[in-house]
Amino acid sequence: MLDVYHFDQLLTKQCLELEKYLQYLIDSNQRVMHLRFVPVIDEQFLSFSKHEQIKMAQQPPVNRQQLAYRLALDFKAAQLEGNKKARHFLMHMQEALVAKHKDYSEDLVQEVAEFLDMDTDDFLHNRMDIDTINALIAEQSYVKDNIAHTTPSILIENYRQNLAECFRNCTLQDLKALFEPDAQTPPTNLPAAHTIFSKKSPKLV
Amino acid sequence: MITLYFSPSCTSCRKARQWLESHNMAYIGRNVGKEPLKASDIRAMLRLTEDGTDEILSRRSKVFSKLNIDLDSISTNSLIELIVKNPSLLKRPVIMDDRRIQVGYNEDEIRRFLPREVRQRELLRATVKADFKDIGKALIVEES
Repeated sequence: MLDVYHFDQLLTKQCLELEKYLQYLIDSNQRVMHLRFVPVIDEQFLSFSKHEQIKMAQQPPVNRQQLAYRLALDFKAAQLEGNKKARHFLMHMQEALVAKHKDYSEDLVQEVAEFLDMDTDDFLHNRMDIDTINALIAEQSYVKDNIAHTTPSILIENYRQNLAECFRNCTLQDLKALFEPDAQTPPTNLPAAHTIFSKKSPKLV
Repeated sequence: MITLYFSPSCTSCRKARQWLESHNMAYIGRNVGKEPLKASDIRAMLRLTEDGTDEILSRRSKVFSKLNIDLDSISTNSLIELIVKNPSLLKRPVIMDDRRIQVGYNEDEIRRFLPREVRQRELLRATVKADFKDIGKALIVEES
């Protein structure tokens, strides 16, 4: 059993690619693992007063940082229906915003939420809620302590074998080399990747 | 910090408490029957689950049958409020920290909460024990 944490900045092609791949690993039952996506928001939001954080959550985003903050709040609100749904919500949103270059709007948020059969009314309310803002900000202190804002970072813990490794600046190619070593993908950024896996069996379940 | 939501009468809860105490783990114990739950407590749990309310809701509880809850029509926030008012709807024990949650007691999975240095110490102890056994065996062979 693996605990996999994906720390990343939103609205990047790489973030979307990594999330899709990690989700594919879960869906294809190739790995038994807990996956947790942790959005890393711009540090300036942590220094804002609570009043400013709330105000910014209620206004339409005017720049990329604010959009990432808004999307991270949407993700936190979606987590109330579990991380599986929240990850799918985020992937659909990033697909629309990053790959299809759509504009962010409440209509788009609602459309994705309805498509995923989410509890849309509550979700639309919760994405503006103070509790959601507090949860996002509280999580950032954990991010700061653990990965010092180097993104994307993938932290993998194998608690049965007491192994943990954090891969900073991780690419899709790195992840494929790590999880599918038999595939013909050359490793590029994995100095200690082998330590995560059992010596007997590289395919950890 | 680990939080354990428990009921004193629940066997799995007692096991979870015993495990945490035998491993000298600091934790905050929350007796759900005595200390009222807050909506923010339930939300914090849900944010760590994979499948949302399904994971924490006790469908086998008496109160669940009594309230005749229709899970297909009830909203997330209403269900959270219902759990706050009826804490017996919550599966127990719930063990969580800021990164992970375990609902129910599982001897293997609860080890996820052990700090890494403790797990490392346990691993070292097990390795030394195994090595010592091997040395002992070798000595016996030499003597005979």
